[in-house]
Order: sequence, then C-alpha cells, then structure tokens
Amino acid sequence: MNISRHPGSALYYFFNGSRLFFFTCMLFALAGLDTHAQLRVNEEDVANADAWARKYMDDDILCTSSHHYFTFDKGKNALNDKVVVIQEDADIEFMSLKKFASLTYPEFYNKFIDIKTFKKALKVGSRYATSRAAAMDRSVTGDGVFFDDSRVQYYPIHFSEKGSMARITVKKEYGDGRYLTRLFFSEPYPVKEQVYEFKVPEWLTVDFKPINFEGYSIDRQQNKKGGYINYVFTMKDIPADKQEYKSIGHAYTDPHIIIQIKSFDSRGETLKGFDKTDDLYAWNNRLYEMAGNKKESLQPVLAKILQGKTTDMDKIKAIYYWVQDNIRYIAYEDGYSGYIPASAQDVLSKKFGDCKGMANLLTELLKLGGYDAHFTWIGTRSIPYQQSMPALCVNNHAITTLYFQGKEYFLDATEKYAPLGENAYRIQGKEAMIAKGAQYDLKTVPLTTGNEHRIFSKADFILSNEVLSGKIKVVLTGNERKDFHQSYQDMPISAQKDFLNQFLEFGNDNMQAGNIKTSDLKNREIPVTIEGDVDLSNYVNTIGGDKYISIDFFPKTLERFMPDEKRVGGYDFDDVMCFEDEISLTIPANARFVDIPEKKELSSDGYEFKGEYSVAGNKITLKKKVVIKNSIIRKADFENWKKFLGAIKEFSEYFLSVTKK
Amino acid sequence: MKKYLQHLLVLAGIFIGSVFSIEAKAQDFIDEEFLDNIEANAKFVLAEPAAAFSVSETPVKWNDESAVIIGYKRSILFDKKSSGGFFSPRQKNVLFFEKVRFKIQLHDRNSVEAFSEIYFRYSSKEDGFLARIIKPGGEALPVNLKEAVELESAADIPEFFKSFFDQTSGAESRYYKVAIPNLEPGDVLEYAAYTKSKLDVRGSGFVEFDPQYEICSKGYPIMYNEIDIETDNKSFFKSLSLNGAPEFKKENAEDKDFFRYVFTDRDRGVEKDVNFVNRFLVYPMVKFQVIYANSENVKGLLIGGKGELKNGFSKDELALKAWENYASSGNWYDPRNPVNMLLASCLDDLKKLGAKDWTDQQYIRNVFYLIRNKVVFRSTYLNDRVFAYLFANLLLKHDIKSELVISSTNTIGKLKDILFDDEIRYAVKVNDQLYFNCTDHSLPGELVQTLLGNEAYIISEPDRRTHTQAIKPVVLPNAAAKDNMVIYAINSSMSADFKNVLVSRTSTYTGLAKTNNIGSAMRLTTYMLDDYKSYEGEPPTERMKAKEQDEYDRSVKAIKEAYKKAKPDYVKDGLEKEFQQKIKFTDFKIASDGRTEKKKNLVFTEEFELPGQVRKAGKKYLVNLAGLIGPQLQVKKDQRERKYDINVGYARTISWIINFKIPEGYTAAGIAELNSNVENETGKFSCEAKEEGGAVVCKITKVYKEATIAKDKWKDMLAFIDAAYNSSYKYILLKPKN
Repeated sequence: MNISRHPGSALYYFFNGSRLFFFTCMLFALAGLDTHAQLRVNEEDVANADAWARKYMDDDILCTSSHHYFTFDKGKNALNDKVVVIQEDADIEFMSLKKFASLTYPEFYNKFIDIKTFKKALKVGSRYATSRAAAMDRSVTGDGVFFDDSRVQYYPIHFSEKGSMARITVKKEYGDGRYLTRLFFSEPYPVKEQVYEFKVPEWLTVDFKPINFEGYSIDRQQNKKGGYINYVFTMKDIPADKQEYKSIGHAYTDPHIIIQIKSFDSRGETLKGFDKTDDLYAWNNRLYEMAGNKKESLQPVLAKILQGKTTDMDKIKAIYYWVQDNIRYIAYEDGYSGYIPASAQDVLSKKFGDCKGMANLLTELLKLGGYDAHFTWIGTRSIPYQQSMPALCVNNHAITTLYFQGKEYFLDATEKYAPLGENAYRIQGKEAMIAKGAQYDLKTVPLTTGNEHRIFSKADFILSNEVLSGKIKVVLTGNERKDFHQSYQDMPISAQKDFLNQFLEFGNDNMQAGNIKTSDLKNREIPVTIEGDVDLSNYVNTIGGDKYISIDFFPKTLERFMPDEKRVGGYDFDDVMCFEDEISLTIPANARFVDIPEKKELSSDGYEFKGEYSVAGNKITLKKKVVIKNSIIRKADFENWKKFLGAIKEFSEYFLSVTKK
Repeated sequence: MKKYLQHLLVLAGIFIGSVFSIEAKAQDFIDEEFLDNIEANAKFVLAEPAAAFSVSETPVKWNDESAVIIGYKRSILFDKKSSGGFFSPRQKNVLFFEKVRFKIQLHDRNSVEAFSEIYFRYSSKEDGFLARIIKPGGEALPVNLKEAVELESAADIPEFFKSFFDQTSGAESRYYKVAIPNLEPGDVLEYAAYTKSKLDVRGSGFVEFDPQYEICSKGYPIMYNEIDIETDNKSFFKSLSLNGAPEFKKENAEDKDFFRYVFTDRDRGVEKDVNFVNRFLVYPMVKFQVIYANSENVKGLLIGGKGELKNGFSKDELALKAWENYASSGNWYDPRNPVNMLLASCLDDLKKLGAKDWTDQQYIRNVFYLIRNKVVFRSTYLNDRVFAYLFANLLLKHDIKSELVISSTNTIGKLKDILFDDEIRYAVKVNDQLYFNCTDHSLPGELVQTLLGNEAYIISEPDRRTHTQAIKPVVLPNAAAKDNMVIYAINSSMSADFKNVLVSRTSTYTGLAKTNNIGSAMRLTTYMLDDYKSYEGEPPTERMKAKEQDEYDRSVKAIKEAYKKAKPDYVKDGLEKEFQQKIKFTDFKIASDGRTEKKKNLVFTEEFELPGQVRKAGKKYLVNLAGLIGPQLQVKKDQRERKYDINVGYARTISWIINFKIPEGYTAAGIAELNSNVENETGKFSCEAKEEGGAVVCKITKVYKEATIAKDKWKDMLAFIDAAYNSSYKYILLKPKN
C-alpha cells in the first residue's frame, strides 16, 4: 500500500472507454441545441491543438502542463511520532485534441493522504471558470482485498471543441512523509510538460533518487534561496502510458523519482527518517512488533498439527502445510493497520488473514515448535528495487524465513500447495529482509529457470483406420504442479473429473480422454502425474490414399505473446516454464512416413526451443521442448522473439504424410 | 430495455423510506452501537420451529456437489399494523417485515470460498442478522459481526443475501459484508435475517412490486425452499407454477384479516442441460407478484380479486386489461407525460413535412420510420405498448384505422400463461400488415424473434355501454429457415508466402438473421446522420442558422473521424473472436445497410488474413478450407443426454460459398473428401465441393429447421451438429505440379 502516482490507472480506462459522449454530443448538435455549453475557445488554443493533434495522433487529450509543488512541514502521525508532513499543490492543464473528447481525472487518497482542495475549471476564452460541482468519491478497494482505506475522488471532464482546455487544482497533505514514496512522470495521456518541484527547508535532509532516467531527457535544477533548496525535475513531451496485455511493470521501465526522507531536525534533535536500510528495518520491525502475539494461545493447535510427526522436517512441513491449507487469504488494510500484522492468535482463531497475518502466524508456530523462523519483508518481482534503497516502496509482501540445518527456507503461506523448499516465482531473485530482533538479515531468494517448472507430456498413439488412439501421460513439476493443485483443489468437486480429462486433451476439441489415473493428488511434494487413454478422432485427413496427420500439440498459449505492430512495451509472463513433449505414432506395417520435418533448434538468453522427429520402422517419435527461462521479453528483443515464435509455429504446423509402402 | 412506463409512473410518487432514512456514508466498519441490536433482532427467526432446518445430513446422491442448501425460507409480511387504515389520509407508510433463514452444507473449498464472505442488511435499527457455523461434530460457532464492513453499493450482492423488498422495489438499503472465520469444507453455514422496510405511500394509489420468477433449481442442490407471503385481505396476490413446479397455496394467517400464500419446493437438483436451453420454458418455475392496493386505484393492472389467489386470466380479462394499459399509455391532459411529448413531437414533424398530402401507404411507412428516428436518438428502446400507442394514434390522425394485437413473449411463456402486465406484448395491424416495435434498424413489418408464431388476440376498444369487447384469436407469422438467411460468399487464396489464407467475405443477412446482426455491423457507423431520409424528412441543417450549421458540420466531421478510426479495431476484434485466432485485418465495407426497403438486406464485406488455416507437409500444403466457416459447436460426451426440449431461438439457414483459388503451379486434392450431407427433420448440414476454373468451390449449408424441437429429437440434431463440427476440421491438399 505504498503511495505512488499510478500511471495507467485502471480507473482512467474504466471511465474513458465509452464513446457514448460522441453520440450524446451529436444528438445535441442534430437537435440544434446548445446544452453542452460549447465554451468559447481561444484561437491560439485551437491552433496549438491542431499542431499537437498531428503529433499525438492516437490521443484525444493532451496534458499541456502538470506542475506539482511539494512543501515540507513538521507534524505528528497517528502513532504520535514526530514526522515530516508534505503538502502537494498541483496544477494540471488539459487540452482537447479532438472536437469531442473526455477523460476522468482521479486523485487517490487514504488515511495517510488528505485531499484539502480539489477543483476543476474549464477555460472560456482566455479565462478559467471553476466548476461548482464537487468531485465524485468512491472506494477503490481492489480485487483480493476485503477492505481497505483506498479511495478516489474524480472529475469527469468533457470537451466539446478542439482546443478546449480544463484545469485541475489539487492540494493534498501527506500526514507521514514516509508514505509518499515515488512519483512517475508518465500518465495515461500524453504530457507536454511534467514538473515536480520540491521546496526543501534547511531542517530537512531528503534525497530524490532518479530511477530509469537513462535514455530520457529530464532536466534537473537545484537552487538555494532563503533557507530553502528548490529541486526541480522537468520532463517534456511524454507519450501516453497505455495499458497492454502482460506488460512489464512500469517501475522497471518508466522514469520516476523515489523520495527518501533521510532525517530532520526538531527542537535541536535530529530525528531519523529512511537514511539507511537499517532505518527502514527499524520502522518495519516496530510495526511488526505491534502485532501483540500471544504465543501460548497457539500451543493447543500446534500440538494437534504435530501429532504423530517425529522428525524435524516432518514437523516443519506439517506446520507450513497446515497454514497453507487452513488459513484463507482475506485482507483488511486500513491506515497503519495495513502495515501492522494481525496477531498470530487472531489469524489462528479466524482462520483468515493477509500475507502479513499469515506470515506472522506461520513464524510464531514454527518458533513455538522450536525452529529458527523469522518474519520477513520482501518485494515481489513487480517491484525492481533492492533493499539497499530505504523506502517503503521496496517491499510489498511478507513471508517467513526458516533457518534449518544450515539452509534458508523462504515460506510463503499465501502460496497454496507449495512444497517446502520451492518458492513462488514472484519472489525469486528478490532480497528478503529477515527480522532478527534488533538486527536483520538480507538474503536473496534463489532464482530458478524454466526447466524446474515443467509440463512433460508423453503420448503413444497407434493409427488404426481414421482414429489415433493410445495412452497419454502428463507430468507436472515446480510451479506448474502448484498451479495445477491451486486450480484443481479449489474448483467444485463436481468439476474435477472434467478438469483432469481436459488436462489430457491438450485443449484439442477432438481428443477424448478416459480411464484417467493420477498420482496422489493430496501430496503436494511429488510431481503431479495424470495418465489415461485417449482417442483422437476427426483428425486424420485421408487424401488420395495418403494420410496427413499432426502429432505436434503446440502450446497454444504462446500465440498470445506474438507482438503486433501496435505493441509499445515488452512482455512479463510473471513466470518461467518448460513444455516438453514426447509423442510417438505407430502406423500399420504396410505404411511408411514421408516428408519428415527437419530438426529445429533455437536458443537465446531468455528462451529456447528444440524439436526433432525420429523414425524407427513404422514408428515416429517427436521430441519437443520449449523453455521460457526469463519471464521478461523486452521490446528490444522483439525481432528475435517474433522469429522464435514464428519458428515454433512453423515447426508445429507440419503434417506428417503416411503412405503405403 | 426500460421498464414498463406505467409501472414507473405508479412508483414515481412513492418514496422508498429505507433508502432515505439513513444518509449515504463512506465505506467503513460497522458501528459497534449497532451490534447490540442486530443479533437480538434476528434471534427469534432461528427459534421458530422449522423441521427442514433441523436436518444435519444431506442426501448421499449430492455428495459430489460442491455444496447442498439444506433450507432456504423467505417470509414476507405486508404491513400488519396499517391494515385498518391503509391509504386513509392519516396513513403515511406501508411496512414490510421480512424473515430469511438459510442453511447450507459446504462440501469443498470452492463453496467455502464462495461463502467466505456473507452480506446482510442493516438499514434501520429494527433490522437484524446473525450467522453461525455448525461444525461436523455439531458445535455451533456464532459469526462475530464486529468487523463487518459497510458496502458502498448493494448492486453486486449475491442472490441469497439481498432482501426481497430491495429486490422487488429497487430500494438501495445499507448493506454490510463480513468475512466468515474458521470456515472449512464439511461445515454448515446458517444465517437468519430480519428486515423491516417501509414505503411512503402518500399520494399513491397502490404499490406494485416487480414480478418474480423463481426458478426452482439453484446453483447448488436445494433440499427445502419455502416462500411465504402474508398480506391483508385488501391486497392482491397472483402466482402461476410452470413446468412441474409446486404451486403457491393459500392458507389462513393468524390474523383473521390476513392470508398467507405459501410455496414449498423440496429435493431439487442442479440442472445440467447446457446447449439450446430456454430456462423459463423448461425449468420448473413459479412466477408471482404482490400488489398492495385498495380496489379503487388499481385500474390498468392485471390483477384478480382481493384475497384471491389468482393463477391466470381469462381471454376476456386479459384483453380488457391490455386495452386499459394501452389506452392509458398517453394522457392528453398532461403535456409533460413523456409519451405525449413524443407523440406531440412526431405530430409536429409530420405537420412540417406536409404529411396530410401523403398517400396512406406513404404515411404508414413514414410514420414508422419517424418513430424509428426518435428511437435512434434515445438511449433506450420504446416498449412495444408505447410503440403501438404512438403508431396507432399517429395513423389515426390520417384517418387510418388500425387494430391492436396482443401476445406474449415466446421465451417466457404462452399467451394463456400471462400473469403480469409486463408480459403482454403489443403490435399493430393495419389491413393485412402487422407492425412490430422498432429498434434503430427495423423495417416496417419486420418480424420479432420473441413473437414468432405466437398465439395472439386482436382486441378492440371495449364498448362503453355494453362493456363487451371483440377478441379475435390469431396466430402471429412464423419464419421458416429460408426466411432467416446468412449467406457468406468467400473468395480466398493463399498469401504470397503460403503462410496465410487471404479472405474476402461478403455476408448477406435477411430476416431475423439480419435483425440479430445488424447492430454490430452498423456499430461505429454514422447511420443516424442520414436516418431522416427514411421518412422523407428534412436534413437537420435545413432550418439552421449559419453558425449552427457550422457547428453541426464540425460535429459530424469529428464523429465520422472517430468512428472511422475505431471501426477497424472493432471489426478485427469480432473476427478474432469468431475464428479464435489472431488475424490481420484489411478492410470493411457496407454495401447495403438493411435499413430501408430499397436496401432491405444487410450486406457487407470484410477482408482479412487467417494464419491458422495452413499446414505444411514436405513440399505440399494442407489448407483447412472448411474451417473458413468458423468454429462449430461441439457437443461433448456429458452433454449428449437431453432432459429438456430444445430451443434454438429461430429457424435459420447459414450458407457458405467458398471460392478458393488454387495457386499457380499447384494442384488441389482431397476435394471430394469434403463432401457430406446429413439431413433430417430438425436440420441439415451439407458440403458440396468441386474444382472449377482453377478454384476449389465449396458450398456449405447448415440449417436449423425449427426454433423449438422436442427433446427426443436431440439425436437427430446431434447428427447434423456433429457433421458440421467434423467438417470444419477437413483439409484439402495442394501439391506442386512438378
């Protein structure tokens, strides 16, 4: 729940997806009415709009200027600490690049941010007239959160003339400066000029860390005047930040500033902010310790969990899996309580909690069991920062770290059906901040490549008349196994049988699976194996006595990642994976294969493909492997990526020809 | 579509007390002061004897279901306290007391997740709610409401938690949600709710609640389902059970001036049929409605007598009420009545256009198009009663007499099963021609799918002296498969790199096939700008001043530009959904918009490239030519048993004429293998392919011969559905000549 200016806000798209406004305006125009108050537009503005419309052809609205001015003061937060209070005064001007255009301007707030003033004004001639209407207000509690304090105020802005202009004026107060973490330059609309100006008093030490500034022209000014230093960051001509399917997190690519309040003087005393990682830890740990755990109340449940378990490893697993299986994820995030974990006993009695609450309970249960477990903060892969950056935006998740027999285990209780020792991809490669009382450890969660997360499919078909029949076996490991369990175990029991069938049918509508057998699906530690008999009808094309068949069941999902000409940014799959197939086809003794496709092999840093057919007598075997080793495909790599996908597609589209000997 | 206008007018004068009794408030935790009341208010509901709720075992036959509802009971009592003085000058409010009891056994994680958050109303201090979990050993754990969170909107509250009053009156009361602690598979969740609602009835004649359609089967099997409605003897209650559902029964209430109407259903499983199911026509269902009123003020409503359990209406009753409703659509004494305003606007337009000089035929046609033009610029369609009223009254201005036709919606039920005013459909007959309500794109006389082949009555205005009314039974026209056609003329060829199939597809739609597709075809086109031509109207610019015309022209230009930019993406998205693959889109052109008699058919051409139709086999290519008909319905193993009759909406014929140019240097094989023909009384699928003039020509036809088909013909249907599905996977072979 860090505070940041969200580029690509869903709200913006939600409100601006409709074309109804065009139709409404047309209705009034047809009726000869003037109800939309076609405001007098300045000729100069029209001329500017004409010019900019040529530049921003895909956009209806341009933000001509966005100026945010931050001043700093001293105050107290809800915990009665002396803190830095930040006031933001913003003026944002918009111009319509089309005759009819509309947008919704949102300002987000919560218990750390007060909106003091929020006004909309429309330009008439050369002057702005402020709207009397108050902004709309609603909760923006996201999916997966039961309740939080996130809210938005917003103004719909409708333009009925090219060159029409509107101005937004905002005054906001951040009650605890630590929670203003970062400011992005890009917005969902193009911005002519984005200015962030900070008037920093002498009593305050603050750092403005530039992130992703390389390759962008961002002007930085610093002026000292009357006991203040003014820092000004200006970026011009910023294209609109559009939402795209599976895009890479903005923090990885878009320029932004991280605000780091290091310290401040108050009545002769220097108070710490976030100067070093130690300071961030001290803050996190203070809130963690406010959870108010009462270990003794966990004992009866722990005793039940450990009943019959004799080895340490069995006991650790029993505790970890019990929390995974019995605590539902339900999140309450409200002010500081959004950062203070619910007590272990509270989570245990309710059998629900958020990541902090679940990590707290798991840590306490393990500790009570005699194990060296620690509450841990971590940033998921959606966040690019290291723990060396002391800011609240570095961590957005909580887990448990267990030290056992000289090894660290990172236990994420929110990941259902995860075996001990296997980590969700979303935290891999990330630094964990491990609470150890007054001290802390920083450890990196090991990174895996796609090979550990495999769907291996083995099928042996026999061609008889027009039908392929045979046996098929699918083996899932790593995250693929965990994902299977999460889907299978959480679906209605009445749908589980069909789900298993579909798993063997490769998404092929002609395949009918039956006689299904599985591995022990209650055991999350062993690979998931599903096997059965399949009939593939309506699949063999017999033309002129020859048969044409494909036995290559290309993973269709990759087609969605073929970038088209409009794609602006790269992809982030949020996962690494491996698809491996070994499929054979046996044909009658009096037949033979012709036109066998050539072997294909492609490899790059992030992905690889190998496909090969081999014939032995009247049996052909396809061995194919696709590995996505890195979840991110950058735009700079698109040409290579497209060739890769194209090559897989071409290889998989081959049909085998079967002719009589 | 907008609700019945009269209905709106009736409720317009009623203030819904519970909505306004508490100010709107931001989302927050529940006020602890409420907690004292809320559980105490609902406690008595659990204490009431109810054998169905004492069950602790669910039937073994439902062990594989995600959850089983043990009991669901809703009791609604209408204003006991006001029975003596309802609608008297001193009477302000009608009160509604509602009790709900719900008990469900959760079998798996899925249902635990579904019920991990539950909802309750707390809109006044009389409202009550309590919930408990009953563990497999019988231990009952109360759900603590302390951390309940107020909802900003009650719009998305699941079926089992919203008060009946709020559902039927449209009131928006204050609701809370609470996360259920310690809930696990095997647990039973039970809740009881009690709500008190009031309507401010000053100035209103009666209160008509929304008609209810209670389908007996739910998302989970249900062992016991009870609805009790208790009203005084001055109110009206009607219900009709269909498709084998139990009936409401009338019982004496404790208070002698009250009656109870009780519906009880038991042992109801989950329905499994997937394809071609019309729920209202086949699933056991009871429909019912409560109208709280005194008899003097309920004119125009389809009701029985007070205290009578009415479950149908005679032909005479129906016709009389239909006429009353129709006749009261407008009100000549109220110039602000929206129907009158629309009528006046049409009359004004007709006068300006010199309509008095038009021939009758010209007048009828132009009036239809004029009403359509008004509809084009509305955000909602007219209901067909208002359309009929406008159309008939405008014709009358030209001394053209018409007849009023009433019928029922064939997706809801038959004419004899009409129970609510909203279920009566209206059309106008002029001489031998029927005119139905219009959409943005309708032509005069075009049929409406929901009225096809329906029984109907032509009704006259009742005689004021004799109180008699002529009622003539008729059958509305049906449409055969040949009347509702889609013809796809597809010219296709290989792309230069042999990776894609280039497609130019001209689609021609007629009849109901046109009606059902014209909306998307015309979307993001500027059909509305020239719509005035259809009724020989004046261009909007005709009487504009220069400045207004300039503004108009600039607006039109902006709209055209915006639509021109958006349309290709819209068409591309549609094609990608249709063919279930990424496509390269080239062009879209409308040759005939289907909005005028001169261009009666909808005809448009799309040009695009499909990458998923070509396979390579050595130097040969296989082309999935039959796949150009798009994905066909596959009926899976578990869907091949049929419990209910089949409803395909309307009979229709879909034809594809595929012309595939054989590339230079190649020969085509496998053409004869495409041929197939399956035909029976339910439908047809045929494919005739041949080589002709350097091209493969493939004529494919799929016909749904009837709109409704008996379930025992399901195998016949499967025969042609399967043939179409199988055909869509066939390839032809392109072999190099050398």
